[in-house]
Amino acid sequence: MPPQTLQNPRRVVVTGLGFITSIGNNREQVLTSLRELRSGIEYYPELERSRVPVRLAGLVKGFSFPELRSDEWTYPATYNIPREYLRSMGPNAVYGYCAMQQAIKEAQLPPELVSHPRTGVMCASAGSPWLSYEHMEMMLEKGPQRCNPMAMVASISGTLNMNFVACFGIKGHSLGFSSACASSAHALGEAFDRIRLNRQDIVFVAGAEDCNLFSILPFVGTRALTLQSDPAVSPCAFDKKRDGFVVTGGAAVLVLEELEHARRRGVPIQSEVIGWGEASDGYSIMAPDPEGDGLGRAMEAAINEAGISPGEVDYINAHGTSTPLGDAAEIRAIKRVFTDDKGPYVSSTKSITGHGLSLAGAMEAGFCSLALQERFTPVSANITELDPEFASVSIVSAPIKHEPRVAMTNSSGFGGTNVSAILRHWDEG
Amino acid sequence: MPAELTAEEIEKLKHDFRRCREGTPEAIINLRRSQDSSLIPEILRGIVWRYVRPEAREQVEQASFDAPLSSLGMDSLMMLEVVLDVQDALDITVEDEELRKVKTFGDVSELLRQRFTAVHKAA
Repeated sequence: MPPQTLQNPRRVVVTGLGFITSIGNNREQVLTSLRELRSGIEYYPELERSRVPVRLAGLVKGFSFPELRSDEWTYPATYNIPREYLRSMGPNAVYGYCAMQQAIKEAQLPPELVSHPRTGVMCASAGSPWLSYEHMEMMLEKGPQRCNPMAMVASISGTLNMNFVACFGIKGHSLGFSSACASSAHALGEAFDRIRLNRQDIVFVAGAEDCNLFSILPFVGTRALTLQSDPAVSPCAFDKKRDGFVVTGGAAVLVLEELEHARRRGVPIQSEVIGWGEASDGYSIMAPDPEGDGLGRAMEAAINEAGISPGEVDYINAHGTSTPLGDAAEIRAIKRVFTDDKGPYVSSTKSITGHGLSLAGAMEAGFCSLALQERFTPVSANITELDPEFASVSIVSAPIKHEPRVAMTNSSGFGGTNVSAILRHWDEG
Repeated sequence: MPAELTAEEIEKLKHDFRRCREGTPEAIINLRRSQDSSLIPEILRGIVWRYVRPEAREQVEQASFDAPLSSLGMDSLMMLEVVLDVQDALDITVEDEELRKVKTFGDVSELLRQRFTAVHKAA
């Protein structure tokens, strides 16, 4: 049965981006890092002090959270976050707040359109494991009535959408997504649908994660992280020597807007979102299906929904975390979906950013939008010996002259959940 | 009865209250040593100063005893934050029921003075 298509769905474009990432805290820095393959990953001494074998993290620069009290926190001087906002935030929401400010400015949204019944937020964040731990410890020691009443909303996984609704006066739809490392990709897909279906005109898509010992340690236990200590060696998605990923945090925000709404406002359109798909592996809570079954079906669903042929996709920003199993599953799925002789170019930007967990989907959709608008193909760093099984795929291990027209971004998460979204270069008209 | 503070306790008080108005950590240490409850209004002022927006700090400096706390731009959550800090500073517990009755800067000072005197007499 052919996929059911919507009658005259509205079109959805990207009109603003915001980034607080390991490779840059604004559009220009991120663009430079992507073009020049500058890694945001570094040696993180806290890990060595914790006696774990992991050494690298995609640290966010320019922020510090030395203790629970928010008046000890620092963030770039370009932002001014009122104390009454900070008291209900964890690091991820602080990053998110700054990325939102950038996105609102880029999209030229006046306060009355940010705070409007037709403007919503779709968010993803794992909350703050650090704050959860510290607050719980204090509650047990001093009793909950002697502790910060904001501890809960600052710590739990809905913290990003809850804070955004309060800080930015959001009047439209607001919710959070919890599908592990596919969370903000799901947020993007849902935002896209809500605009297409005429339920919202603008939706902020946001992903944000803390980046500290507490966000990294649980992954050490899963044995999913690289044990290398040199960011010029690892992560190295698609390389034969890949041995795991590096955790990063930060925030990314995309402003998705209905095309005619954006045109009436006369704001620059950066790219168009043309489809998305999702599917689950039904296989394991942690390991991907070895053949990338769910991810393959997610890519096919996205292509069908976008109404294009697989051959039109000319760049894939892969999930590509640099784990032995994950990369193999994804490449097998890509080979199955893209059967033309010359398939799309494939790269993983996680090799320079680290894996943003629930933030990854939004961050990488943002990178795809930048690549389409600025006409470049991101390179996959640290490949010295491509895995021979991937030889037939056009993995971008060195800079190429290619201006992508249609970019796909993949995300997979624990439980075997998979999302694929497709963005297109915007030609006026 | 005057109480001795350990060097560790002094350091912790200095650290925990260093974002308050100048002189506040010293006043807290002084109070804890001397039990002189007349220091409480200035300690309260110093803690309130920390939590209000920077532009309201001048007003906090000038606030008289009959000034309603809401006039200093304090919402109920800020008030709760102040109370949490004050409890730590004075080493007392204030009941929610007691807090509901206070409206002005002077009301809170008096409530804290009573609680402090009751607790530290008993001890």
